[in-house]
Amino acid sequence: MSEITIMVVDDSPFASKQIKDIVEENGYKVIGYAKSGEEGIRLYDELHPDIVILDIIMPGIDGLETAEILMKKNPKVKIMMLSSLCDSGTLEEIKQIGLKYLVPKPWENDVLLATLELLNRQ
Amino acid sequence: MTGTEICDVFDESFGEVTQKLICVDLQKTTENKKNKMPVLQHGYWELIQTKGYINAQIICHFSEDLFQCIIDTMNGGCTPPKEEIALYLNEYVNIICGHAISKLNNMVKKPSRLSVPSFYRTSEPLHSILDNNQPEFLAYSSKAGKLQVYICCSTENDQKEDAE
Repeated sequence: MSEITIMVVDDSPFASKQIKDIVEENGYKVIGYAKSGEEGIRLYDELHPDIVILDIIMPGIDGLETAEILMKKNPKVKIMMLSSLCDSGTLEEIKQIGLKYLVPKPWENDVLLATLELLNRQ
Repeated sequence: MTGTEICDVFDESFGEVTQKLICVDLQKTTENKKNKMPVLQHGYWELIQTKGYINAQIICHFSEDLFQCIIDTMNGGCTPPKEEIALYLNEYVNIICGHAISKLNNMVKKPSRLSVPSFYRTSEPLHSILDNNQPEFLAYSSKAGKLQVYICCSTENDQKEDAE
C-alpha cells in the first residue's frame, strides 16, 4: 500500500517540524510545506497530497480562506485544521465551510494521529 | 468582563501552556506593580492583538535567557537559524494567547480573533501603546529567565459605555 501523503501549511517551523516527526514515525509522508495560504494553494496544485494540515492564523490569507479555495479546486480535498484558537465559534466557522476536524495547538500526538486516521478513512 | 478578569485568563494560559511547550514553571511575581513602564532595556519583545468583543494589545518582554530557552527548546534543543528565531517566539506567543482567547470566547460567548504576532528587538516601537493606555501587568520569573506581559484591553461593552 502506498504511503499517505501530507502537505503542511503553517508559518511556524516549530509546528511543521513537530508534525513531520510524529506523522512520519506513523506511516505518513510529508511531501511539502508552505508558510502561507498563498504558497499552500500553489503547492497543492503541484503536489496533490492526500491530506492537507492547515494552520488558521497566518500572514496573508488565513487558513479558513485557504481551505475554502482548496475546496473549490477539489471538493474532495481532505483538510485538518490546526490552531491555538479552538473556541466554539471557530468550530462553528469550520463546520460552516464544510470541514470537520480542528486540532488545538499545542496538540497531543495521539489526538493528531487519531484525527489523521479519521480523515484518511473519509 | 473587566480588564482584571481578562488578565487572569491570560495569566492561567501563560503558566499552563509554557509548562506544556517548554517544561518551564513560570512563577508570578509582584515586581514593578506600581511602575508599569518597561524598565528592562535588554531582551526581546512581541506584540499580538485581539479584535472583536475583546480588543486587546498584548505586549510580552522576554529576558535574553528565557528567549534563548524558548527558541532552543521549541527547536528540539538547538538554536534555530537566525532568520527563523522570530518565528519560534511568534509561535510561542500565538499558542498562549490563542489558548487564552479561546477560553474567553467560550466564557463570554462572543467572538474575538487573534492577529499574527510581531517580533521586536527593541521596545521603542511599543512605547506609544504603553504610554497611551493603562495596561494590566503580569510579571513572571523562572529558572530559565524573566517574562513581563502588558495587556491593554477593552470590551465592546466598555466602548459602548464610552460612546454614551
